[in-house]
Amino acid sequence: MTSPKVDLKNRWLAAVLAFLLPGAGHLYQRRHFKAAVYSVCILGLFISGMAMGEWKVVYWRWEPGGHRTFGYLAQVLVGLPALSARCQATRYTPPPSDNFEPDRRLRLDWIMGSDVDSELDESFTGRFRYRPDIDSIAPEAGGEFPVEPIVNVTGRIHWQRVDGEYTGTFEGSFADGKPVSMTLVGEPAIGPRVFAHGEITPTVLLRDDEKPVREFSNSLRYLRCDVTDGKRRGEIEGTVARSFWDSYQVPLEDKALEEIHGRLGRRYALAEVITWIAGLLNLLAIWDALEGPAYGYGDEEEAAEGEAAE
Amino acid sequence: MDAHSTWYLLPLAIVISLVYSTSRYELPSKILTRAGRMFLTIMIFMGIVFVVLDTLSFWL
Repeated sequence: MTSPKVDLKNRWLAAVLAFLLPGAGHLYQRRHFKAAVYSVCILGLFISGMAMGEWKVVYWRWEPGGHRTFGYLAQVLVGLPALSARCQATRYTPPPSDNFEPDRRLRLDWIMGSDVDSELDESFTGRFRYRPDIDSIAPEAGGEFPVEPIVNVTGRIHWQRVDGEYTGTFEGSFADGKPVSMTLVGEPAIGPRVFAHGEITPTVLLRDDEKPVREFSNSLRYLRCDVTDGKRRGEIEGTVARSFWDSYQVPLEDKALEEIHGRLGRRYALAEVITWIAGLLNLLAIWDALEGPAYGYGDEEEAAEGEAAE
Repeated sequence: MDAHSTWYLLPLAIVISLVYSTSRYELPSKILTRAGRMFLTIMIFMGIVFVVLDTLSFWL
């Protein structure tokens, strides 16, 4: 119902604005109270839901015969805060369907080198170990390799791919402050650039008494590669940073979903429902921007009473 | 879960009441009055449902 007391201005423009950002359409119509209520309530609810689900509740996956995020159809009604998921779905590379082990993808976060960045320059935190020096093995040792210690290392890793060959360096320092400078050897293994909730647990450089606790991260990428200091070869394993935009609202893979559901339990389901409700509530706001208040201005009863008194 | 999930009903009911009433009327005073009434209705209804389900599950 379009109330004659309400100036809707260009109501179609207002409806589009209301869709893009809850409250924006009403702000354009100078209905400030409503703009405040819609933006605080709907955006507040949507953001709370996303925070409850560790910011991994809103994403778009639509695989024929597979996982389909029907809930996104409600979430997207919030507009821009959810629309980026559509953009992220196009940037994300789904895992190859043939000759592929899903478990391995998540454990090593690595798809046969196909996702290795052609260029990288990032801070690295992780571990280093020299490979056994074959020349130093005594014949009487019976072919047993000496165990090299695993040391923590931090620094900066840089590489580029030219004609399919990787060249790069690692500059940093060991935990005791001793500087280290190495050259990369071969092809590095690294988690995909655009990815949400990938595993970063060390799998190769594990200490004898260490029981690895599976760790997942949005903001970090698993990395492992061979290095050499000119004399001996070694291996580094750790993480480099992943930018916020490369993980925000990126489609979650099944294994990642399992981990989140297992850890968050009902809270994740509740977070999803809250974001759906936020989207559906914005539908009311969009309609209000387009058609005005459904039951009228709100002073009809008082006006009627006034007329009756007269 | 860190808190009993029933408590999430409170903010949800407040937001739903406010947004629904805001889409029905224009006058802020009317919106707030109707939102308050709707919130109470939701809470009473959910309270009744809670008591009924709690009673029924008592013998389980």
